[in-house]
Amino acid sequence: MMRRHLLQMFPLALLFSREFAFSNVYLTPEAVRGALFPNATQFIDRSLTLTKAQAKHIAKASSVRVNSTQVKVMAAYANEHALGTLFIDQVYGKHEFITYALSLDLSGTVSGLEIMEYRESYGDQIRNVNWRRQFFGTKYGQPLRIDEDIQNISGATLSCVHITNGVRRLLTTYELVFVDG
Amino acid sequence: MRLQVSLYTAISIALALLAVAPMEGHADETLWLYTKGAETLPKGVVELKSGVLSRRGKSDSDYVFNDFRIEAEYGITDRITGYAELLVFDHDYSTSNPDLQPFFDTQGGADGSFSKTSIAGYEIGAKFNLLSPYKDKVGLAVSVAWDHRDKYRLDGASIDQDALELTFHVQKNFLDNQLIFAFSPKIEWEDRKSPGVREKEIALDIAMGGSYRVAPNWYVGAEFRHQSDYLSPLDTTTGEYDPDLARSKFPFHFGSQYQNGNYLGPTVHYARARWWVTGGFLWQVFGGGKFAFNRDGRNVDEHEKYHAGLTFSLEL
Repeated sequence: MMRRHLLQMFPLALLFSREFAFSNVYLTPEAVRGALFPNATQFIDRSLTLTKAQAKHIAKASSVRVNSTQVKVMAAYANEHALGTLFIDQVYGKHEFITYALSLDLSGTVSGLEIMEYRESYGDQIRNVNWRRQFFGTKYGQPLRIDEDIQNISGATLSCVHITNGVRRLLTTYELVFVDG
Repeated sequence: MRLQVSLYTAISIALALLAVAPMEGHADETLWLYTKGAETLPKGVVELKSGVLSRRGKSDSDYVFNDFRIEAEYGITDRITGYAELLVFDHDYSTSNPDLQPFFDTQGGADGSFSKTSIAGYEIGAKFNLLSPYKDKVGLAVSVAWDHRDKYRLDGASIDQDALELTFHVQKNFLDNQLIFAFSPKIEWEDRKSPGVREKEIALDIAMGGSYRVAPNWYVGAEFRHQSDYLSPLDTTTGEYDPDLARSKFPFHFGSQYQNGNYLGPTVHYARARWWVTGGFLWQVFGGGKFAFNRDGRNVDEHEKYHAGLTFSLEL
């Protein structure tokens, strides 16, 4: 009798294990450093808090809201030689945040984009390298509009739009805060 | 005991199927009780919904109407969702007021009461997304549905009703899609046969809502709903239409408004990756109509004092 009840509980346990297994972490901060700057020997933390004026300036220049004034950013080095800049950022998903990393080379051009955490059940097609590759080679000043410069993925529209806006905001942050600032 | 074992087994099989089903996601979340946004399910996604709208309170009557809906939705393409819905009506009321019709007659007169739960009909339909709320200026979808009923929603009496429904879903998002407004006007062409009467009716159901993501997974909002009928009742024994009512002429000519009810109240929505739940409470704030039973500026025969609703959705 007890055995039968335990067997009947198994599908329930399996269902809930799938529910809670949705917090998909694809890359940790350590792993993403290696993925985007494989030749780097050290990363120096350059994280900062934007002033209200900077946040306002970035929002106006990028046409994207600045939801957090905290900017998590690192400079990548191979021994003494600077390699580029690594941002770790979050944008809104359908229900949870999407965490992603953006790497720029020394000229401020996008050299890599990785999805680190995606907690929604649908829309993770944005992890596809062919979609992410559309951003490679872009830099501040390029419009980066969905359906015009960046192809949308049908059924993952919200994620595509929010990541595209996030990249445009980070490129603007880099230009206005780290280059001009 | 045998039935109990079968039920356990059925639930176990259902849970097992859910657990091994392909992991997809849902987009067609409903943040309100009546208002529906412009999103459709992604292709291949199946969503099961179970909801109840408890409509309570009429003049001089302990009135409860629990309107249960069991629905399956399927993403035919990323922009077309098909659905089928089973209607279960649960009525429980008694009234001492002979003017409160059709309830007084249906319950069997002064000392009567009515308490019955029955399968009331079904609805099949499709929703077509035309503009995305995420990348277009405004989201837009159109739904077309066919609804058949064997029970009347008001009193639970036996009828034969067919209706064609056309709904527009307009959705506008703000603040990185954290603040969502939707407007969903629905027009129904109903053909209802009951003993001695055939009613052709145009009904308007206009719902609008706003909801804000107050925290990850949580939306809190408000909703307004207007419902009104434009009737053309035919007395099948005399073959004459009611002379006091201007007739509605199909498809778009509205005759006399028979009645209207207007509701307002809060809603709350919680969503996880594979399921969501929405609850709400709407009070009738004003209502009436030339032919309605009105009291204190509210319609108390065709409409109720309040509607409380809860919908649960699970994605397979």
